[in-house]
Amino acid sequence: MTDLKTRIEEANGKAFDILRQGKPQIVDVAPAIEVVPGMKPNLILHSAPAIAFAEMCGPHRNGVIGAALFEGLAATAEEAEAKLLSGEIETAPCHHHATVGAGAGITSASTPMMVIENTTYGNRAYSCISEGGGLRLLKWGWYDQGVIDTLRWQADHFAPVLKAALAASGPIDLKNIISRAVEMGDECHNRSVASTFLFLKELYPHLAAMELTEDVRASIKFLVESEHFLLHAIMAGAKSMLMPAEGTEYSTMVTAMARNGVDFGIKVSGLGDQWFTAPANDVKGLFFRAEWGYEDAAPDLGDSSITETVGLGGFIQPCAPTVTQYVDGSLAEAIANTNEMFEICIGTNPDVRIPAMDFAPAPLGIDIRKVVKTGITPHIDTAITHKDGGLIGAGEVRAPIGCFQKALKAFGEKVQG
Amino acid sequence: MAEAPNPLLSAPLSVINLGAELFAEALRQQEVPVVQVQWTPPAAQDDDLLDLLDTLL
Repeated sequence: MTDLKTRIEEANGKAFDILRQGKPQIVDVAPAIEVVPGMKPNLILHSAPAIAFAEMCGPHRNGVIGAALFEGLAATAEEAEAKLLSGEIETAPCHHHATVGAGAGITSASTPMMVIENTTYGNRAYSCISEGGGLRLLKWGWYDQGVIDTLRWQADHFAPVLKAALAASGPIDLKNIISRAVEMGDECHNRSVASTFLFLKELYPHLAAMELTEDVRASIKFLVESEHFLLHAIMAGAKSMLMPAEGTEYSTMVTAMARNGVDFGIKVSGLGDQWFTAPANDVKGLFFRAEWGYEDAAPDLGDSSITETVGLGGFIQPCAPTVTQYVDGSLAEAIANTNEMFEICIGTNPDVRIPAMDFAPAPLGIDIRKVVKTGITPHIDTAITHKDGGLIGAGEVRAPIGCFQKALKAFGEKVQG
Repeated sequence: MAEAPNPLLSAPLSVINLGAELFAEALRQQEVPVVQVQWTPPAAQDDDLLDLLDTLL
């Protein structure tokens, strides 16, 4: 093996170990303005990669306008658009602020954030708390008075209750929850029912010990009805695990995958903060109403593919055979998908086992060299969003090869001079 | 003059299926022994990327 290949293998081993040894814990809930690095009153975050307001897809445009109204930065949608175009209201990717956001990823100053600490390395990452179930949410690029009322209730009433319960419980071990949930039918992206229940099992004793005010009762009701509540915390946990692996010289491991409904972007450990992009693919899947079809759908969007970046979601579909129903699939196809992901990963994760594959450890740590060589691109479970906003389906999608090819060329130029 | 029967049609089949497993499964359902080989066509690459992969992987 040449010196260069040896250096890459060693660097990938180092980045992979950092990723595998991360221990994310849920430690707090707080408004974005108080905890998110670089957050400002006039800043609205969205799912990555970076994109100007004028170039955004429908869900992102609607999402940032809705957030501007929620924050009182504008009185009307027209005023919000004008301020977004002029730069008076700023936008930036969540990823640039140690944050990840599902769907359009809309996060503003008042947004209550789940605070996750990777206790192995002491770094923190953030994600907005779930808005609960429903097809018309800000994260799906939809706003109306009902959405804004829910956001206000979450910020003023629900978040303080959740914060107090977490203070009473102490840090909740997210890694342990994920390890158990994948053996209970979750793949922790399109399905996070088991992980949510395991989280609530930790939380309920502390909620029940609180004075049962109207806010506490309403919060418990909201949690009971939000069966995918923990997904956003899992996403922030994944981000917290990947952050310490960023900037490992000579490493070809992927440290972020994210989509904004126009482009799919990746970041690579040995290539710093640069995004490498290619047009986002269309999501293949099931539409929730007969009136909706592929012609209504926005291209792939959201930061939730951070779960696949740490070997969850579409990388371990056999853990959650139910998600294959979105694509009229089967357990055999799910296993075949996971077997493909082994081919593009650096190693495996003994903390995430796949029962339907004789408890095989999950594939972990995407290597851009292997993606380009094999032509196998990451397999992602995800939602389908209407091009004008709103959730309309769920399914799966492949990352485009173009961003991996661009990254590999940039890596070659960097290490070969 | 009659042609000799095609041995493919008269002798037991030995099948190796490359790639799409759907074909192998169809044969298995007809009780035809089949060996499945996982294979996908090589990704289309430009020469620069192929040279780069030789250097990096």
